[in-house]
Amino acid sequence: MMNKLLTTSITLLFLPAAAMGCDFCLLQQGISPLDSLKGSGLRVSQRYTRVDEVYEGTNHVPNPGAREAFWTTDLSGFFSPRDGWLLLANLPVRATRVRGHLHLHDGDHEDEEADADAHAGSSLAIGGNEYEVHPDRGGDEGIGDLSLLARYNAFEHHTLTHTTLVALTLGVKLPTGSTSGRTNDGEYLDAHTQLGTGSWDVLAGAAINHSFGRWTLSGNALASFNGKGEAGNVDHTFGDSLNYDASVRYRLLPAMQGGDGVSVFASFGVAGEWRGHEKEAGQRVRDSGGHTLYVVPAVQINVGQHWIAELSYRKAVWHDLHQVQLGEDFKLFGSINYLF
Amino acid sequence: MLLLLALACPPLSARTLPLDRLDQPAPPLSLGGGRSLGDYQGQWVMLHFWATWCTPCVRELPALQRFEARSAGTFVLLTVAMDGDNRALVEAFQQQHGITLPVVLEQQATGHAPFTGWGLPATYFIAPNGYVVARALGPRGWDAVEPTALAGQLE
Repeated sequence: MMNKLLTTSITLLFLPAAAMGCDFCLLQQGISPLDSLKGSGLRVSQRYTRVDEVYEGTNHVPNPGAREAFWTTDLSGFFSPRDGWLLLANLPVRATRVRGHLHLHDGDHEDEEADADAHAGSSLAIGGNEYEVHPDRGGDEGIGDLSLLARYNAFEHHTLTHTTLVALTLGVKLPTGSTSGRTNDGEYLDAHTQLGTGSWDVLAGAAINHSFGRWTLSGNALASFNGKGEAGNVDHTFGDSLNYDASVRYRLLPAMQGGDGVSVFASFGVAGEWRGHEKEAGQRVRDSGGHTLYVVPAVQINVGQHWIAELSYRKAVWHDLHQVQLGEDFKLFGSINYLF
Repeated sequence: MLLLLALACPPLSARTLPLDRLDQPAPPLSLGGGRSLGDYQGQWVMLHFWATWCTPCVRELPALQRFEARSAGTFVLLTVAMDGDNRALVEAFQQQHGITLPVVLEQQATGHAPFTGWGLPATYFIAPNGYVVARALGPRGWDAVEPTALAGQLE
């Protein structure tokens, strides 16, 4: 019972990566090494991301009408083939919706009248540049990019009252998601609203957990080194990224674990995502990449030995985005886990 | 490739256990009736914490009892029932389930806090020199564990 409870504190420590309009890039970092030493199981999670805040660097500027939303269901299976090892597979099933696409106006209009009609009332002037909202509508639904991860507990230190674990993670993301989704007008969706990336990416990370009494302190970092991908009919490469978080978790009840009843945990953390510039058709995309910080309150409920439920709210509290971009507002996350 | 790497690591024998390794002196623990954990210095001790209200503990006990029968001469098994001072409840439980393992009540086990902070069931292995060398948190499949193999694992 204890191991399975530990095994599935995953939920709070399994914090999804952030997105700056790049929800499909989200990859759960994997189950906490403290929690999954001996467990195997399945996980279904649901995530809603809203991206409708416009930033120039760290400055929040008015949004001329662009908005993106992402619904992602992640199907995960994890298995411990040997003591200290965990293998994880994660497959997202996504639905993306676009309502207005923020675009830098390059000033080269072939049909100024048509352009004026399309963009009237939906522009934003910042730093000498004009940003327009193209009134795109559209989205796509289907599977995203499959990720396969392996984690090894590199260090363990146990005392009667404390446990400390350090684990290393290595994995790969496969280009299984579609990159040919289109808007209602038949144009290809932007890369970050496609279901997949078209690229093979290498994932590497580390996690540290320290538990004592009812408390658990956790830290995670996961880097993604992205290969060349595609979006529609152009080459597109997302910038390398680093997702990290630190959290504190406390067991509210019971006072002593051991039954088949209900355990309730509360957690609070801070998280961040740094992302490098994207490249499209070999050219660096100026308005891409940056850094976002989040606060993440969460609650976890364990029922019996097999079921874990989690709910978390990930609120972006600081952005430093390159040039002018849509930035993430918040992410709502819930999951159900079943342990074998 | 990652799968192959994971599978290449030598597995534990099916007759042993996945354990957390510790290395610290066992804190003082009273066992009631003037006895204490220190009385067993010089022997391998399995110290097992459980409770009648702990369902996984209850499910595990019969297998633990069978393990105890197989481990005579290898381990001394001591159990602590975290049921307060309710001797009648624990004795009725033992009678109902045919559990003849030696049981100390929570109320008698002064000093149990360092052992029970992680929940129940919990099993600690104390070496003859009085050091806690390993623990198993949560229920275990004791029927599949061979006592001498486990002792070898702990050495």
